Amino acid sequence: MGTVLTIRGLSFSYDGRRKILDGLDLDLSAGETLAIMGYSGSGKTTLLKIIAGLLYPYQGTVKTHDAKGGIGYIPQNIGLVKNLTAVQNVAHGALGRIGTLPGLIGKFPQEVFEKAYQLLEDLGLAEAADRKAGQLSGGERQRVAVARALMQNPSILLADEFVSDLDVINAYEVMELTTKICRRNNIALIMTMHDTYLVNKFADRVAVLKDGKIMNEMPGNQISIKTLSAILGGGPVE
Amino acid sequence: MVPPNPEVAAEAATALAETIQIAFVGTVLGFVFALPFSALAMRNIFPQILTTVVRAFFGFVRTIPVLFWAVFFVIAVGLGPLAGTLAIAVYTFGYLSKIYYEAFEATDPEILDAIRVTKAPRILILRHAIIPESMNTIISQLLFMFEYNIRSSTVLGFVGAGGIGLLMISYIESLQYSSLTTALLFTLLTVVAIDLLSGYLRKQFIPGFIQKPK
Ligand SMILES: Nc1ncnc2c1ncn2[C@@H]1O[C@H](COP(=O)(O)OP(=O)(O)OP(=O)(O)O)[C@@H](O)[C@H]1O
Ligand SMILES: [Mg+2]
Repeated sequence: MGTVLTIRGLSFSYDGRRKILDGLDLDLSAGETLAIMGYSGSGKTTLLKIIAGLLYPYQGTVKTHDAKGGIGYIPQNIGLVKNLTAVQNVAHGALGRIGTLPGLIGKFPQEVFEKAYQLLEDLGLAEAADRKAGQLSGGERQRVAVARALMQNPSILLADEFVSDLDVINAYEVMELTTKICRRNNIALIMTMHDTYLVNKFADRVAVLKDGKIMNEMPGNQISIKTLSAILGGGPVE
Repeated sequence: MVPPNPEVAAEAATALAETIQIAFVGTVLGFVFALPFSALAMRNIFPQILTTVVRAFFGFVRTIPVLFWAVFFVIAVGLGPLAGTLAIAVYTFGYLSKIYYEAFEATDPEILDAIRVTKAPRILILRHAIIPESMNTIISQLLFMFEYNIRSSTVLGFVGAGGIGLLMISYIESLQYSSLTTALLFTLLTVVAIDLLSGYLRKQFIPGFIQKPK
């Protein structure tokens, strides 16, 4: 398995004073599912945005290798166009490859819509495909955002707390579907999350972010609230 | 002034129709230019040098009242409805551009982030995300502008820019006050009708209004 992402000595600050990330190192293999955990405000979203190329300047290096399809990104609060239907939002994932002119006149290739419907079906959303995004439930919108990111055919998918607003059943389902699709298509997945149970169940590896660095890494099935608390220096947990 | 003079009804109606045309064509023209140009003022999409220049230009256009534009165009293209239409168009352009770029800039940044990573060209992000997301503002402000322009274009005739204002001035000058009353009544009815119509259209286009169950 080749490496798709190498991060070395990454430091970042929003205001030029307080360092949110401070000499962070991280590697990611093709097709791997990595969970990133850490306190709220520890810089998880910041890290994902930097990897996605949405935030700069930073110090250090962030290199992707052989990431042909680019990087897909599921923002923490989803970010769908409410006035458009689910399938139109999914088609947005193809905006980088359909060409400016066809895009301007709104002529998406047939392949794009076929794939968009297929992705929604794979994610259990066939019913809602033609409904406006603004009228979908939280869980349905979450799935649309996953489909939009997959529409891009990414080599790396970044998912920012993409199930934390869902009820446990929906969270489990979306997580299972997404990790399955990523494994099947050899997409490396980085997901930030808080739920140790889901990490145990679905992540190959977990990295804990603290003080701007990865403090600890371990196989996904070895994390518990107890170990997490010990790493983060929280109070004793029984 | 009372009673209104029914003999000038046809004359007043024709002039009023011209006023509505001036307002309608002017509003559409201003809108067609405002939509793409306002995008150039978005600080979260375009570099600051460009947005600053564009905003200064909008500010300049907006500072000048519509009546001054009417005088300017009467001098430039002569008396008549063309001058009025251009004045309304420029004024509409200045007003809508600002409203639109503010609505565009308020687009949820996470929508932009999720599409930016696809490497989509900026114009496609505008076309497929920013404009659809701002559609409610785009339509409701366009309707508002049309209502507003109906009112302001009645006045444009005072400076010779066509429509019912021109007729009103001539009635005033020749002391035909009951004819003036007819013209005013017609104008009032039109303004009310247009307000009702745009209120109806707003309900059709804009979700979030409570609609009566069918
Ligand atoms: N645009 C910004 N400007 C300035 N500071 C910011 C900005 N965005 C985030 N921060 C700060 O950077 C720190 C890290 O934020 P970030 O959103 O990366 O945390 P997080 O780990 O994703 O938290 P959460 O789990 O709550 O989502 C926080 O202290 C936050 O206040
Ligand atoms: Mg976050």
